Amino acid sequence: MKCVKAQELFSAYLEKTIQPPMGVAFEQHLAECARCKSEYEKFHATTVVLDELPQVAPPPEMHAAIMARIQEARRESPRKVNWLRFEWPSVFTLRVPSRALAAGIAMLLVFAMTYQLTPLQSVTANLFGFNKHTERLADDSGVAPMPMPWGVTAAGAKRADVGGGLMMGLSVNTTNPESTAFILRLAARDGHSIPVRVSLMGDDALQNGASSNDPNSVLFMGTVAVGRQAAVPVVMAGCANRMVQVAKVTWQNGDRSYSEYVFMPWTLGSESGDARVSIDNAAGSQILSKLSAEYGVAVIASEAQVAKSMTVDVSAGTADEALAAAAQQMGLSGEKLGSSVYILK
Amino acid sequence: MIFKASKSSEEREHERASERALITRCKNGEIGAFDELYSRFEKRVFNCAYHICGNYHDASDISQEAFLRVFNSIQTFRGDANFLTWIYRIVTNVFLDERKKSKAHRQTSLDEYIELGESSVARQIEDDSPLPVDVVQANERAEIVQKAINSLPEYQRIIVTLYHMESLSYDEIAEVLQLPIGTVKSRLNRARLALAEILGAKPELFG
Repeated sequence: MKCVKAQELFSAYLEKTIQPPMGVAFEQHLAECARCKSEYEKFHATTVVLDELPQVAPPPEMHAAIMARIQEARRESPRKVNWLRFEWPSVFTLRVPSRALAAGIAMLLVFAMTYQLTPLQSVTANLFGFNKHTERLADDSGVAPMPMPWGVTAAGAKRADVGGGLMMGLSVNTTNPESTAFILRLAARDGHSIPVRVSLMGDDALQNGASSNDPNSVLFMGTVAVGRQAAVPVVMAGCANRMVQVAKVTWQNGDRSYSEYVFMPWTLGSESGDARVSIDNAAGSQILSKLSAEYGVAVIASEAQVAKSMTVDVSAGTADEALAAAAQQMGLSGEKLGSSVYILK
Repeated sequence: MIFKASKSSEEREHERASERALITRCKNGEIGAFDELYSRFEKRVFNCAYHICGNYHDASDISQEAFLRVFNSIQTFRGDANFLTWIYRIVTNVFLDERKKSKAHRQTSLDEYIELGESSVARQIEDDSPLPVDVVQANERAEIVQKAINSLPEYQRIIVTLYHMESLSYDEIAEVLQLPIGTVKSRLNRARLALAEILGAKPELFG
């Protein structure tokens, strides 16, 4: 063993971590090399001296000095920030200050509540011109003149061409025994939009064959855009002295205006074998109201059919038979658009 | 013996639990807890600083800076890590940072040793300021040994200090310095050889 190698092994030999074969070689070298033996003795004595080096007492004023610096650092440093750590090991580490995040969420919530519960919503709407258009475009995407009753769905239904570039349909969704919800569906047939007004007819106006001019009765006034369907909800609520509700749909196409009437019963689909409708020389509106109420059917008819005086005597077991017979007696034809929904042509 | 060993183990576990609780209180910003932490580690921190820098006044400055860093960064201390090695790492980092600053500003410590070839001599500067009683009473042997340590390169004197004065194991020193354990062993061996050569010339030390 060379002296340099022996000196490298001083610590391992001293701490008894040297491997046995190497230890034997080391001891053999020390026995043969007086210089290394002397060096090792000094090495050993040095480690003893180092181990015995006395501890030094810290200066008494150090404690006060450190605590003063810590107090100063505490005053100057910002408040403790707890970080939320989102870690995706080996890719990135995102740290978000939890207190700031919580404050941000709280501020957003407060703003949202303030916006909803104060006139701020209308103020900002006016500011940014959101209320500029008074006419509303109604379509199936949810823009409707009145909120949908609970449970009413906007499922599609068959529509019929009622002339004047307009397609009309009526779907029914009865979810509550106290009311019946209808959805009047309108669509532009040709390549241009149709301005439409839908209003409810009062009893007097209906009997006199006149249009309702009461602005409160307007359900929808707007434009049926090309490629989009207008869905106008009409709810027929329970009413002891009123079994049928009539909506008048008026629209403009070119220079001409058109009208169509929709008779909607409170109780839908009440087929009765005993029902009989017998009216002599009466306005079509009266006959259709009676048919609608007795047989629980919704009927769409034109202004000419509503105004014309007719005589009808119908006694049928089902609504289909009753409508077919009545249409025949009135010199018209009937088409079924859906369950308990008919249109007269 | 078995009973004693078991009791010692229980005592160590109790000490660790107490240390963890103290650290948690410090993390919560409890100033009293930090005062307690200081009392528990002040001697170790100061002695470590003193033996690696070899100067009483500088040791005080290093200790203060180290405790300030402990206070500022205790939030980052992981609960499963060894707090003692963490605090020693801070002390050695403060020392190395101060050395870098000193070199950048071409400053020299009052007791700095200037290496001249194979030998080293201490710069002798008269100091009129009163020295602390403990230093004045320190025996000559300790001063000679400390001056020999001061002549070592920085990493060697840190390893000698942590091993002989602070009684850390090779594993713990490797953790403090973030070095391979083999490097720690070889550097300690070289440091001891260098010290043996310096101190071997003073046989009165070993009397």
